[in-house]
Amino acid sequence: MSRLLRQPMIVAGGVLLVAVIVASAAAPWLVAADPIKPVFGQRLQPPRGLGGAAGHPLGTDNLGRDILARLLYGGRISLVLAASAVALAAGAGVVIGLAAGLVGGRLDALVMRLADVQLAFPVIMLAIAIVAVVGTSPAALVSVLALSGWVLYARTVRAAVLTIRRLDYVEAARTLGAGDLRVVAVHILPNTLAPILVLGSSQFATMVLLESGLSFLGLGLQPPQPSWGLMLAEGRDYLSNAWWLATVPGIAISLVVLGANLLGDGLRDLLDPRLRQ
Amino acid sequence: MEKPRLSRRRFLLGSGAVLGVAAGPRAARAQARRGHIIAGLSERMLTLDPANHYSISSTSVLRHVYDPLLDVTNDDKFVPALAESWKPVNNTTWRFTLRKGVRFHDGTPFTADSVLFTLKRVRDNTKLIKSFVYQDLEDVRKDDDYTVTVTTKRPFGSLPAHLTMLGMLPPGAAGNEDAFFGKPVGTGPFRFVSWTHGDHVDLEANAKYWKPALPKVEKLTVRFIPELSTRAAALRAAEIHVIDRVWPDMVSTLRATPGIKVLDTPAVEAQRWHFQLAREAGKDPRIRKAVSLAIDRNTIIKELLLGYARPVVSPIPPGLIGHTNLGQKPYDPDKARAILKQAGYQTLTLDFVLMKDLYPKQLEIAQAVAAMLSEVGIKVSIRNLEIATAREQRTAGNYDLFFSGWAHMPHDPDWYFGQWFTRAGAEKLTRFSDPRVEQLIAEGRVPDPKVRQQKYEEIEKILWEEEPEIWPYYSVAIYAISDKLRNFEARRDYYVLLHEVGIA
Repeated sequence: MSRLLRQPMIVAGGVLLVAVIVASAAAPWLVAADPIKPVFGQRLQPPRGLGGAAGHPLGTDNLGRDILARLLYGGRISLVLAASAVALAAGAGVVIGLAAGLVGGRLDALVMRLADVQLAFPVIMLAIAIVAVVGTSPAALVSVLALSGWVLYARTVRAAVLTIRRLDYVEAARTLGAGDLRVVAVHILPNTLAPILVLGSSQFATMVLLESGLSFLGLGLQPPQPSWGLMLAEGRDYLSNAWWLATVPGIAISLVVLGANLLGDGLRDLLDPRLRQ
Repeated sequence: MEKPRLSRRRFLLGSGAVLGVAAGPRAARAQARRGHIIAGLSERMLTLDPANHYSISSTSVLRHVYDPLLDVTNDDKFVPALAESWKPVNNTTWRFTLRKGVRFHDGTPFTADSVLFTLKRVRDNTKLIKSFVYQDLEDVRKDDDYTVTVTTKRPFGSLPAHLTMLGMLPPGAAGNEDAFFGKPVGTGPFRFVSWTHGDHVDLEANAKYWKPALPKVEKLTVRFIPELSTRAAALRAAEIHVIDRVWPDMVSTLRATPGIKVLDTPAVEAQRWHFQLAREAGKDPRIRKAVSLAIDRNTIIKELLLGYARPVVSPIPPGLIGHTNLGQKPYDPDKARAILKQAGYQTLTLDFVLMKDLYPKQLEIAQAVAAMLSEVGIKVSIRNLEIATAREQRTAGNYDLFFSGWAHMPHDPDWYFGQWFTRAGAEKLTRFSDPRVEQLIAEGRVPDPKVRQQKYEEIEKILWEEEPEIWPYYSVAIYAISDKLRNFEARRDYYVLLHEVGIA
């Protein structure tokens, strides 16, 4: 723990992320305004301090909705979606990677070629295709994101399995009668945990960006849901006369991405034995 | 800096005028034509073929290169262009008398052969986008070099209106159209110079244009800048002189910029959100009625469009044949709730499909409508889809309400009625089908404007009662121009026409 706290990147990233997560989770207690219902008389009010009213610290958007409320409620959606996508991608990737590494042979070849095919598709195109078939919904969005992310885990875990399974202690465990499942659970998985953790936290940043990007393009969440990407998209048209509409969610996205990347890099440095002094 | 330049220019102008009087009309005309106008349009041009698009921006560009037989003024009057006069001989025959002494840019004369070639080409080559309009042509006959008779399979009263949108081509284009449209010639006020796809078109003045003293500038460039903020920034930086499709929210910013003027005019466009009449919600007239009652159109016009729209009093906007005043649709959420309750609807969800980024502020308006409908207990799920995907969904019938507008580009509603309120036209759109309306549309195709007006009024009364569509507002077209432009007219049909515009 003390070693953890001596890593400035982990501390900074962690504090940033935790602050955003806590604020989003506490949205109903932090702001009273409704993030969805339009208030026609109050359109495009600037943030407080720039001539705006006290009731709307970050101003109001093109339908008179409180931007702080939309930001926090939007954070709930954006963060939950990104986290579910990472969890789904990591879960699927780890299982696939383990299977490919342990079974080997045809299954391995098949899975790895599948991964190659997957990597050849740009995520946005894949998203357009999937949305065209199943329509836009949070579940579809999480699936698209997870689909874009599983390869990373599968490859990492497979590589780890191939290395570890030939190590002497694994061989020893086998000779003592340990079955496949026990070898995986006790010897292999714990050894792959570190890289998965690192991957997961930097991928969280990618997922937040991707979710915003897809929603921005109209392929993700649909209005009037408050999602950061949607807020950005709606604010784009008002850049010249109400810049805060797009700027506020833009800053929020940058902060979360920065936090997750710092955390990921810090964890990598911490867990990589070669970087340890 | 500014003052001496101005006075020198004024001095030169004065001496030019004196010289012009001395040297005759030719020198005066050369003197009058100067400058270079650059326009910024919202939509990219896709073709140089006047028969192969229904795009407003393509029309804006190509109308400078090709002339149609008739023109339509901003107050919806049909006036001579390449045809000096036209009249219906009977319900299925039109006769056109052509203008003499007009030449294409390559020097070939404009005659009846040009009209025959252009009309037969658009009818026979069904791959051309405008071809479907001209399928009703039976024959195009040349009576003499400057008289053409067109016979039609059924009455075609809107033919002159449609012809305002069809540029005349030289018969020499036949056989090698690809080469022709690489460097097209027309009879218009500007010659085609070059086209950089997706970016801009360069045109130069046609010194021998048949309208005297026009055009007023030497060069015309049309740039394609889809994003409004970029377009507006270019205008404010004085890189361009005119932009179209300005949003209401941008007006005050632009007005406050020195050297920029904002112009607006009631457009020939009605917004109309159509129901899918084969799905449960759209099928039930009570639901359509409740939706209509629950939408506060005046709030949308006043608060979201900042007054840049007008309340609808009939499906056809004012100025066009068939417009009539049936009174505004009321806003009455209590009545809407009562109707839904009586009809036994507890929970009702409407799929509201939008074509992404097509109409200004559509997402904002759709969200406002969703909030209004939720007040009466209707849940709206907005689906903002890529245009192609949205159209597929529409063809497949996967929507309850579809966000759309209709610009009556020929300044005539026949096309709108034929497309949306005949069985054949609406088959893949709304599934509208009503024998009474179908009959009236057919009867309203005759050339006699009095008959057309009467039939169209009857159609509109039926539609107003049945509400297969929600007509939320008539649009207003907003343009912003540099104050150096002279004589710019804000067109109701969204065209940016610069034939008669000069630049200081």
